[in-house]
Amino acid sequence: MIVGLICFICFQLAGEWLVAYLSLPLPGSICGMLLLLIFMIARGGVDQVLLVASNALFSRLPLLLIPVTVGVMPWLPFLSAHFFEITFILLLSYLLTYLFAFFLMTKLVK
Amino acid sequence: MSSFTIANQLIVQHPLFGLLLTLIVYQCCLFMYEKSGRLAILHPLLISAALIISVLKLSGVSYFQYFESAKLLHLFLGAVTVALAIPLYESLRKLRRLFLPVLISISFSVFFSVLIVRVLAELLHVDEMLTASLLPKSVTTPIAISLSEEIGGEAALTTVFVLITGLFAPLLLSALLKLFPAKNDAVSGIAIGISAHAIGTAKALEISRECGAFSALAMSLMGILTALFMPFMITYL
Repeated sequence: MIVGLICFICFQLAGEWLVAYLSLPLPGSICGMLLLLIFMIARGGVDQVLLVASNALFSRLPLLLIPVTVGVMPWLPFLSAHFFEITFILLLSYLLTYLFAFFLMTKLVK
Repeated sequence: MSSFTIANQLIVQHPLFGLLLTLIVYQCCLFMYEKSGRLAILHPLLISAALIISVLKLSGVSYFQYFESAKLLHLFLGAVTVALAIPLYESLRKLRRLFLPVLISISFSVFFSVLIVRVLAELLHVDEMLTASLLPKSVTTPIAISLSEEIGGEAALTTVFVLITGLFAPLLLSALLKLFPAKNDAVSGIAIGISAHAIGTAKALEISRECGAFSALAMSLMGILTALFMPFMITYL
């Protein structure tokens, strides 16, 4: 678990470094993810330590997301003022995106 | 001030208060969620955040103070983003034969989902900050947060929008699949992963393992491609 975590954080910081060095328009953690992906493709497999640590993180993702979600607190009046627009956009774009992907895949898969 | 209130103040402002509060509330919400048979509206993130906001309001702790204490949890989100490479790698290996149609569908869907939010926001005269917070809402949360900050949105708002979007899947999916039956699990899996990221993927796994694998693949590629293209789409769309 700890070894896997060390690997993830190293890849993240490597990504942050690369993004800063090459001034890429990309979050550093995404760059780190791509680096890890390349690493695994080059190795031809996933190490057990990485699997263990990733499962530990994924199963607790809602917990890790709580602090940023609570950040909606100062925005509550703003959200209720724009309640109609936001609900409309979220619902309609969800349905349209789903149907777009659905029919495109239906066409492309034989 | 009595020593009772002073002691109370001390606890509420202790650097561990926010962390402890988060852990306790989360554990209780998780328990409730499992007991209810994973009812969508009882999603632990939704209820935990609502409960913590109420506690903070009642105890007079500011969000800033709370975040200082709970930041430890937040810092791990970067590692989660990196770890997303693992399910992506595994599903890429498993689903190689359908890779091309999948890649094409996802690439177009990335543009479509950004474009549709942009158009709807334009129609309703939504301001720029709110639009920027809405744009990454189909992407898995750790990625959406960093994207939102990069394009001038508000991370907290984006998190809520991502969460609501995800919750549409358990609420609407069975009706959608009844109206438009899927040709196979690849089709439904991809559509679910593109539209409703991780919460959708959990739902897709209930349909079948294959549907879940496609959904996970769609979710990861959607995240990466949106992150790669968003800066350009913002400029040119």
